[in-house]
Amino acid sequence: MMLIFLPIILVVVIPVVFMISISLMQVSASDALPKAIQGLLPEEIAKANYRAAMFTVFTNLLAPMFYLTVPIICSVSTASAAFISEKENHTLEALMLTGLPYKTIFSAKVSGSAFLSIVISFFSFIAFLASAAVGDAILSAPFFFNFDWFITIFLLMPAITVFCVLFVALLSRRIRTTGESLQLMGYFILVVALCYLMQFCGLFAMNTIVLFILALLLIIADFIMYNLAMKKFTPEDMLTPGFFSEKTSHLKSQ
Amino acid sequence: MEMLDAVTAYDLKKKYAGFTALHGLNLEITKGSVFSIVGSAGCGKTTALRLFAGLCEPTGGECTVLGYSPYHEPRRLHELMGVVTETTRLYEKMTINQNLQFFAKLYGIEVNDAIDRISFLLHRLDIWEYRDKPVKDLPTSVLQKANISRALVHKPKILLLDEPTEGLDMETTLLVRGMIAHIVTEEEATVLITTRHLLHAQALSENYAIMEKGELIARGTLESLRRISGLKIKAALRLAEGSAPPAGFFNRDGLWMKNIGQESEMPVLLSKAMQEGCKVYEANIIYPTLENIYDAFLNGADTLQESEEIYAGEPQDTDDGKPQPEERDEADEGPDRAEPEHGAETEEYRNAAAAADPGDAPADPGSAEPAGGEAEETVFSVVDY
Repeated sequence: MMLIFLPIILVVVIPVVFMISISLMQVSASDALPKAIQGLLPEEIAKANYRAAMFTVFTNLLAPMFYLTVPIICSVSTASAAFISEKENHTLEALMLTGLPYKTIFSAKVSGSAFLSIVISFFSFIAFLASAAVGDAILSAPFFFNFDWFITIFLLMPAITVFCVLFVALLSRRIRTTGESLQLMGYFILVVALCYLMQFCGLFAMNTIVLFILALLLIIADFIMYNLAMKKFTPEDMLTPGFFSEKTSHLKSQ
Repeated sequence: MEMLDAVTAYDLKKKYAGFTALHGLNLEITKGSVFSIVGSAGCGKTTALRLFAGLCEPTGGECTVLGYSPYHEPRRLHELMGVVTETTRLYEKMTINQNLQFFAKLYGIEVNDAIDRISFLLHRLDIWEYRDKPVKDLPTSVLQKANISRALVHKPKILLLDEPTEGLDMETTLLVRGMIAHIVTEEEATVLITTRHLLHAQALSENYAIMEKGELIARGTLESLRRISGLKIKAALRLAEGSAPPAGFFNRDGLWMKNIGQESEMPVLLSKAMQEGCKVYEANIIYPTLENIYDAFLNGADTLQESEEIYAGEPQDTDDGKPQPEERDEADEGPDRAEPEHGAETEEYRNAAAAADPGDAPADPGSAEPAGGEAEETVFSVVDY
């Protein structure tokens, strides 16, 4: 249920709330965006009215942050179910005792988690597109979709998704419960939020180049983590810590 | 040359973060046999099984299963191996049938073959009626049998079972034994069981290894372990009430018993008892159980006997004229046991003797005291196996 309702709230409800709030704002003819913030937006925003400009601030500077929360939540949830829950429920052991190579099991879990998260994220974007397009139309704002959004959807979102899945897979040998692993999403969301909010401090702008470099770095990290996590996906690494601690606690209790 | 051993372990060691679970295990398990590794919790038997299953890496030594290294060739081995550990589970939200079909598919079994095999396993283990129930709603005994089914769905050549009878009653244990017997005889599989339930181990297998604190203490069949431990088999007679027992026998639990070296002594004893006029209702040979043997190895013979036991009958002369010492069963259960006292009598014998021949009985049987002190029960459990 979390994988359905949270994305809807983040990419539909929040934009609609912003749109309604901006529509109901009291504005005067002299109201204008601060120049520092105008510098972060496309040039055509200078000609738009205040409400349109505010909505463009939302769709260009804040909405990506809300949107990227969706792949983070989905990927961490699905990876937790694929790796941690299976370990918790002791079905991973049964799986590793079949004739399947461990690499095949690992690849299946990573690709399944990542694919599901990417699909949900993509459909979330479609939903956001609909709500943002309506907002742009109502408030006479320029259409929000630009090259930055293109890099966000087709490079950054998949890279973040795979990164989160592999991070959970890599830590799965140490994480005992699904609850512990779900806490990881908070750290990822914090990093993304900081990146987008720091724009308002004037430190940097999440422009096309920065987004592209971030996506590239994440893709390289994904390759490295994939190989690392796959090497660690053995019964000795995944199952033995749990077995040993259960046995020693059992012996201690005796 | 065909490999005769299904499992071999040479100086196998396993250490977990400063704790040594296995101190150099040397073991061979013949193909087509049912072998049990028994021991208390923490003795290393589960660790040994996990090493054979490829679930952990040895820190020293090596082992092979069906010629493969479990840790380095797991894929090939797992196609031929079925494993049930204490921790393996089925998927809770799926039914037994769905679980077995899922695992059958993972093993590459054709759908129709899988259906036949699953049907056979579920009927044989008497869980057919539970096949369409979600696993999370099933009782422990059914779950355990379903887990065993999972391990057998692909007709493995070797089956490793860790505590397979945990949570099962004896009747169900015998059902599992029937299944094991079938796969050994019909499917030519080898079975390795690790368990701390000695009674169940004895019910399930023919060969044993006793482990303690990560070390192998003894291995062999029940008979060879018995001989090594020094425990004796007993001839047990149930006599008519009032019938005098034969010489050299002692009483326990209403049976008259005597240690014997081998089964072939029984007919001689029986005919001698008949000649002495004993009215024998029942005659049995009682073998030490695996539990008795395990106790003998671990705790030593001394702890098996809490006090001296009183024996019936007079000391008997041997053919060479030397007095035959009365046998004390615990005396033989280890090399350090002292010889028993002679001429001890149980109160029951005196009463029995009085009933059979009042002329010889003491006037007040209750007042006579046995020479060796009161008879007390030993901890040697009597099981007619």
